[in-house]
Amino acid sequence: MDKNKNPLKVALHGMNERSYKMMAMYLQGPCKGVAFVVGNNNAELDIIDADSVDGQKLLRENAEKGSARPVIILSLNDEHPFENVLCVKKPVKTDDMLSALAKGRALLEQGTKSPAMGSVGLLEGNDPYQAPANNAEELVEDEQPVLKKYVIDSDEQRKTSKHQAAMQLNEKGFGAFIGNVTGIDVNDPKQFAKAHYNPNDYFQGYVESAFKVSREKGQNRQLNSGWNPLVIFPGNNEVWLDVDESQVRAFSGLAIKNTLGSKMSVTPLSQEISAKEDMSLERFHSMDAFLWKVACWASKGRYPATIDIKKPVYLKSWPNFTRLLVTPHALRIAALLIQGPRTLPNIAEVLNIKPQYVFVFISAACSLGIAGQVRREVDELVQSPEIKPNKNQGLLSRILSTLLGKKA
Amino acid sequence: MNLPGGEKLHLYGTPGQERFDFMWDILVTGGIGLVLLLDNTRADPFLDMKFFLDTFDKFISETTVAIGVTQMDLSAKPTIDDYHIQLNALGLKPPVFAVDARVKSDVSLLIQALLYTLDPGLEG
Repeated sequence: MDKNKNPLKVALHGMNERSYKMMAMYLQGPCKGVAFVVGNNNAELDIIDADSVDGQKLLRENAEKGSARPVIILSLNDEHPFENVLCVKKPVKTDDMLSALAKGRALLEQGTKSPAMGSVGLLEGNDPYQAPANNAEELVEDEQPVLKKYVIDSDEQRKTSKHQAAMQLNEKGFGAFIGNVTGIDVNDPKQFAKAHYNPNDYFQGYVESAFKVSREKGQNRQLNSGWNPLVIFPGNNEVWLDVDESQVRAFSGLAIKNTLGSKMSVTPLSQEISAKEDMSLERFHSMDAFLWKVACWASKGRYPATIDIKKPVYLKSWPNFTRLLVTPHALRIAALLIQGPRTLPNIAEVLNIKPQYVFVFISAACSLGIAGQVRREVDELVQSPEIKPNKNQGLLSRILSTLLGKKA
Repeated sequence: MNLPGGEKLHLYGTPGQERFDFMWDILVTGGIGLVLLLDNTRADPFLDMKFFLDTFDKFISETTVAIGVTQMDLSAKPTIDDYHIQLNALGLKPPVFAVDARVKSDVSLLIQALLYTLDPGLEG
């Protein structure tokens, strides 16, 4: 078995934040990723600093509870009263640690449960973020900045769709990627009244609803659609869908309420999915980025029916554009709208852009709940300030042209 | 960065450690805005954010600020929404993006947001 393809999941105990981080990096670096640090509940093996203030207590508790997991002790001393644990002497040498991890792996593979290793995980319910303090210098030599404790999760870092920059669309790419509505010119002011859509008729509405339920209940859920289920992990703010983007795009653009509506349901995770161990990491997306895209594809340059085009809309905060699909002029629209509420046609007019770009942005921003119609009368009465050209406009434009890769 | 017309734009990475604070005033002179990069693995990134917002308060009020949060793949919390809540309490609504400072498009979007904040009417 390739150990680096199947690294051991270890939990660290009795280490302060600096030691914790150092050990996590040590496992990734010198130990070549043979093991990586996870939270206590997901670990296969425990590593305990026996010399920490609570080290002996942790070991006693472990022995009393009878952990099912192999335990590696890090200690300055060779001798300790605990049996059936693997000991690595400090300062930790890579060969010693690799050897101990290999033995731990062998124990796991044999399913061996020593008398001291019963059926319960070490420090059940203990939050790894609150591991007891220890003298970091015993493990760590380098002076490190103050960092909080976190789990270096190599799987998380491989979720590329979740952490990579999203696409920045220009006007030319809009029609091909977002789509158009036939039979209506959404950019014609005379047809604005018809240039809306109801998100509830589309996949978007079902996704929004499923996210709401999942977040409110704090439970992993799946949205069933007679298609591949959309798996929702609200704790990590991520979704998993085993489908190519082009298929999601096509599906999101269809009004499905009357055809598939009766098949749509939100249920707890099926056993089949819960037991699935080979969830492709590139199929994970952040919930926000997924919904944003689905809303863009449903909108196709229209605005949501819940928005009155004659009344101003607000933007609560800037969208996290580096992880979202950036539609044409989206940054300009956000920059303008963050200054104060405006009507959709006014935004298009002030920025001198096609209304469809405003409509699609508002559709996506509304789906995330960061944009909406103003409800207070005062917001309708008070006009947003005129935008004044910046005194450095020439320079700023040239910088922008360079960033956007345009020629002068 | 070579700009159209032959101009050259120099970008300075300013060390954030306080021992380099003597450089800060020098570097912001003539600056068009502040890009603040915060490390989300720090014990209290909000404290860092408030420190720099306070320190560059005058410069920000005269120009603008955009915030990039780094290392979010290592430490997902605080979330971008959490940053907005903190900033709203300070009466600020700047762009806050998750950023990998090594990725060109991330940094480009952050600077674009800074420029548009200065002037939404800009056309590239």
